[in-house]
Amino acid sequence: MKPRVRAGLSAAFIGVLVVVFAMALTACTDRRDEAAAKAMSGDADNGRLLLRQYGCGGCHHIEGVAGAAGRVGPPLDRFARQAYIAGVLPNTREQLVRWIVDPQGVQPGSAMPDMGVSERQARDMTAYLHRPE
Amino acid sequence: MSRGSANGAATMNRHLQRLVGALAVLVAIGIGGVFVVTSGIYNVAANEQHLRPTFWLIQFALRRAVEHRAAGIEVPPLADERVVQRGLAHFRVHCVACHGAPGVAPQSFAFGMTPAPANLVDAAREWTPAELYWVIREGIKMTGMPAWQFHLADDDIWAVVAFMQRLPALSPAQYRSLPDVPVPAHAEAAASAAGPAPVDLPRAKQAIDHYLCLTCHRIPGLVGPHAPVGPSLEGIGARGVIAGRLPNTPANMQRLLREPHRIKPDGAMPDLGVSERDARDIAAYLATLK
Repeated sequence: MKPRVRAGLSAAFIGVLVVVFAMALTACTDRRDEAAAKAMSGDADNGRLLLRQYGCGGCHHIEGVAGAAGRVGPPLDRFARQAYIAGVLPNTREQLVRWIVDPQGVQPGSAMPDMGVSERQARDMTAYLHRPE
Repeated sequence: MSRGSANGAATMNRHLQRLVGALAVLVAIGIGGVFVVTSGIYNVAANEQHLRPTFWLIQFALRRAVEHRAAGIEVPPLADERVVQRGLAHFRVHCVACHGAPGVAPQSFAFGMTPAPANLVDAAREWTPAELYWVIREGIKMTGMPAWQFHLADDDIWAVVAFMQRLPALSPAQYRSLPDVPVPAHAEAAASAAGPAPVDLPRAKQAIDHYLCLTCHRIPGLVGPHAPVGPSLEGIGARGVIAGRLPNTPANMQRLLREPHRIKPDGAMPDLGVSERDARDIAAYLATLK
């Protein structure tokens, strides 16, 4: 092989290596971003699980949550579209988290009890209730 | 014989051709209609008047519809001066804002409306008392004219008609010099003295429309925006708790309908001025939604 060809080939090889490395790196940061985003905005799948574990379905009808067919409080189907939470809070993710964590603080005397949901858990539940449809 | 059947075949052919032609025209009209609706080319803006033929057609249909529906209405005596005075009081409070009066302009929001609110001097000359009563009571779709059925007692609607009979003969100066009359209270008390009216579910649906319930709630059995501002009322009849705090009894539902701010002072549900009878009817309808 002529030295020039060899130099060309190795340059191409290095080029391919660089590209592959760069791709791996972006994939990595993507995954890290995703994880960070999930921590920030909540994990909808986990939220669905939590909604079941906390027994939300005893009082609420919630589409997609097994056994959630309660008729004590209002149904939470397509909840992301609703304008108000509990008739008093504008339905943003932050306010929904606040409501789930501390309903009695928001509306003393409400039929919705404090369930001892942590903020992290409420974030996941919110991610499920506010999932894009 | 063979010639006759050939003739017959030719006629058949012509008929067939006409049929196909007519079908083609219908299909073309259909496609055109779908295009107009889906493309968004039709301008719904209030500051763009209808085309002349459209305007004429709508006016004509409106006229015919009102004539047809007002045909059987019996007109009470309208000449009593006290009735006219009562009508004037309601007229000033409820009509002038959009329609104006002799020498009086409507409020500024009425200037942006299409169709333009009618001049009531002209209306009083053109429409019969029965037709005026019908229009005031029932309202007119897509015009901005509300139905006053749930807001004014029938007697008060007739009183407005009685006053309108005087309108064409009033000069602007005479209108201006008419006395200030206080608006009499809603005639509901008189009605309940005769015992509560029986629950009326078709009327309840009208009341739900009237109080704009569907602009914030999904309520099965009615046509409307069903906007998800507040909670859906699907299955509300079987719901355990209402407003997040009250047991779902008929009495509590009526209380919530009449005085939501008493129950939830900071709630988004406003006091809508629901009358006792309307609250009873609406609550009865909601109770049927299991």
